[in-house]
Amino acid sequence: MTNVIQESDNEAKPLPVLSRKSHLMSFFSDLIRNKTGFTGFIIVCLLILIGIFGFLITPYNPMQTYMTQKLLPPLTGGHLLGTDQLGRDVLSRVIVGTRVSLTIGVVTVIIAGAIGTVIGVLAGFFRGWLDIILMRIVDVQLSFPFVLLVLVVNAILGSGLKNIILSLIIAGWVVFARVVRSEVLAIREKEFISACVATGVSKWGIMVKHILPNLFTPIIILASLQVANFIIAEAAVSFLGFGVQPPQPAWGNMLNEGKDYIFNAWWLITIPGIAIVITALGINLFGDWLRDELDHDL
Amino acid sequence: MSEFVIKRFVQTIIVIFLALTGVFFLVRLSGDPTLLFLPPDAPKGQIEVFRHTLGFDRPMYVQYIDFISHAIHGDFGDSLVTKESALGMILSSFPATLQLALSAFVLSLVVAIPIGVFSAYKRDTLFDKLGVGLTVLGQAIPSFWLGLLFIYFFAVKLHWFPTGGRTTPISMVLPTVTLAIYSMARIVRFTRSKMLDVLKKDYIRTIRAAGVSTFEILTKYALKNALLPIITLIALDLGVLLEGAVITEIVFSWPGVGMQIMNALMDRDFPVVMAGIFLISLIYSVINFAADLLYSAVNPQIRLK
Amino acid sequence: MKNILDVSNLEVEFQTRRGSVRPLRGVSFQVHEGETLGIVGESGCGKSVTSLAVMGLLPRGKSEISRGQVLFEGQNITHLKERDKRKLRGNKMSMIFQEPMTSLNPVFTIGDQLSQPLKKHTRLGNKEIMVKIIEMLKLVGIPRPDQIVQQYPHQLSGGMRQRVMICLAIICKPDLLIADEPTTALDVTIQAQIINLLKKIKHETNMSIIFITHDLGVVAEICDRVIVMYTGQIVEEADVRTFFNHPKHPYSKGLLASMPKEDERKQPLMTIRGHVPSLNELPSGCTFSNRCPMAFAKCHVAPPTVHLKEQMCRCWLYADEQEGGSDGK
Repeated sequence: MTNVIQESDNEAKPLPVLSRKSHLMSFFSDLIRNKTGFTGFIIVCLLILIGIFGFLITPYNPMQTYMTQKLLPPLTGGHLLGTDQLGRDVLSRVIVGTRVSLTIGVVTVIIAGAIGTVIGVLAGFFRGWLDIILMRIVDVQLSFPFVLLVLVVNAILGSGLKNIILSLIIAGWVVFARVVRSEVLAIREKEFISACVATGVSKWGIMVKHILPNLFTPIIILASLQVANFIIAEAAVSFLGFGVQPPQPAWGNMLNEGKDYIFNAWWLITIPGIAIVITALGINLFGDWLRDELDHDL
Repeated sequence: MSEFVIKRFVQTIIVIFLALTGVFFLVRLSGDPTLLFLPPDAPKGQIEVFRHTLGFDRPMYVQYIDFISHAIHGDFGDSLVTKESALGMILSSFPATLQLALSAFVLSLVVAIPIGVFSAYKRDTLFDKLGVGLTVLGQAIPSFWLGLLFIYFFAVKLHWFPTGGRTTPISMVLPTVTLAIYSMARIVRFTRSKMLDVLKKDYIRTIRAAGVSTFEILTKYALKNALLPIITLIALDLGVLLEGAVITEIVFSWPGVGMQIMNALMDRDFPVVMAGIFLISLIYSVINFAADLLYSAVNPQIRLK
Repeated sequence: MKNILDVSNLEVEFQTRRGSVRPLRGVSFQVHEGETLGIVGESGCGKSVTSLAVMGLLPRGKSEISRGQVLFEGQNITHLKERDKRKLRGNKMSMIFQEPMTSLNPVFTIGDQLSQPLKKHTRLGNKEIMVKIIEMLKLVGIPRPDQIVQQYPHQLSGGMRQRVMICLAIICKPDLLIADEPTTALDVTIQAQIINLLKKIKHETNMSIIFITHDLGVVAEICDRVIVMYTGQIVEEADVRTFFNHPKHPYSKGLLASMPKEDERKQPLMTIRGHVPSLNELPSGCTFSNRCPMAFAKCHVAPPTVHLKEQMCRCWLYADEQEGGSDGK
């Protein structure tokens, strides 16, 4: 028998077999395996924690001025990141600024995203005049650079936290409308929609039950990346003297105030900028990973 | 071909016309444009006089027709500060913006496309990983902050360059590099990923099977395929560059359209603001139109339609 | 007869997001001079991977030949440097791909793409290259070749494109032509034309051809010898007559039974139950055992390769019929 069997040893190695984990578990295990995505996730989590609970850990009152302790460099006088031109603690202001930035980013994305989604779905689903008007508005609005539009709208509406949020929404909803509309158009062409039409499902039924759920992924991906864009736009506008007004600390207006002291206080122009970069980097890394992961599952 | 060009041309004209409409409504966003055109502490009586001289007391449609008919003749009114033609002021600062945007554009293309192609060629090597890392970082750094850092290091500390202005040729360096970096990061990233997409295609396998080397495939075959989407992005990037230029100009006190708009916003000089954002929107639309023509010129499939 | 190609114990490993898989698990076969070898099997059985591995066209970085060797005209080309492999590709060995619609570059003219192998592997000047291209386009039955060279792929029909692909593959008169499902994506009438063209090329030149297909009708028409692949292994090898008259492996029998026959029109078509398992969920032992109508206890152990009189078969059913013991390969 032994000389009959010409056993090749190829079968010997067992192949790795995937056990079936729950969807959420595999989502997280994929996340941990991906170094950059996981880094982004950790940064985003930390930022959210600082945004919510940061005021508990600020070493000083971020608004309190100490005229005797002006422009102290980092690590002096008990100030980890130094003080600004009014003797306020930079670390405390950066921490409180996190909350301002994140609030603006998240709130504007949620509202602009909701408005854009509704209009995009209606335009993509019903087509006709609504679609034509919408697309022309989108064309026009996209022909103005985003940050410039936010800046001008904000200048017209007036500075301040509420108006910067409003400006970002006015300038930012079109991106969502455009992406959602094209997604809806793509889904409409899918065979399962034809099948629904053929079996007599109503227009609203199709929209609510079949189109909306399929929009979830692209909207989440877009929204996650737009948060970073909106945060940077707010910082830019505040840096230019509009947007969030001092003494309320925001990273953008801290840089604006700091740039007048560029000759003698380097920390005032670097530290808030680093905060912006870390935030944008964290959100982008996580958003990119999310896009790759969710697209893969589609 | 010509039908496509005409269609796109008409579309562009419509967008430009609608952009004018947009500008008209933009200044009415706050409700009362008169208050916008005056200092906040203007006395009540003066407001009404001003409302009348600017024609804001007329019915909306009259104002609209009036605005459009003047605007298409290039008349956005006179600057409230200098009393010069608003569009004239914007146009006089336009060469400076063009100079900055074009030099940054050329710089970013010359640097970014080879890096993107090489990164795709050396996929997953140290070079590639470093390149990808830097592009991710580059995209997260806002240009206004980068400009600020450059001023600090190269102007304040090292005294290599002036902190701003447009006086000597050397004053161009910092704003150009600042503006180029953001766009560079995007172009590298996009070029790389498009090249990798194209390299997966069946027709690349075919040409490999014919014995053509990977390097030649990259530089000749795949690059031409990837060029279509890359051109589209680059064209759109000119728009982004324009936006970046506005901010960069302000950081470096570069006397271009962006600086002009910013100054006008500070002075509440809205005729100049309107002329400025209209000009930028116009350029942006023209760039898009040109990009579409270019795109169709390189893509035989579109050309023949 | 001289062997053009001698593949022994070839194993290929793919790196995926979820670990590595082996789409080829020890494949050995030979191609003789002037012979047409058919490789059949369902999708996902390793047919295309085999041909890509031979051509050295496996996706870079993600896959590698982890064991075994490929001898081409006596030369070991398994781990040949890319530069040296390039000299063979399109010259001594070439390949026709399945999808004529996507296998030609949309932004280059037909002439440009056809000139590449000639530029790489011959010293012909531009004019001579053009003459050669037009001559070869005529050979593959393309009308108005002098106009076609100026055109872009999207201006041609699927059948025409496949003729161009064949032209591209044979333009340097290779010794080995691999045709990977060259007719699958085409209309039936066009399929027949392409098969006739390949037959003509086969008769006019002395090219060895590896013909990969899942269409057994085509195999009967063009091949001299057949190997049947399943989950990355060869399960049966026989000359074409033996294969159709006396298939041994239950998988081969299943494939033949699921082929419609002229004289049995009224009977329902047989099918093989189940589907090809994915590479990371292979059954232990014989990988066909979960679909095999004749499976028995032994099938939980990997089956032996049995050499019968006129064919080779990897199945426990024939373990006792071995001809003259192991041939010691």
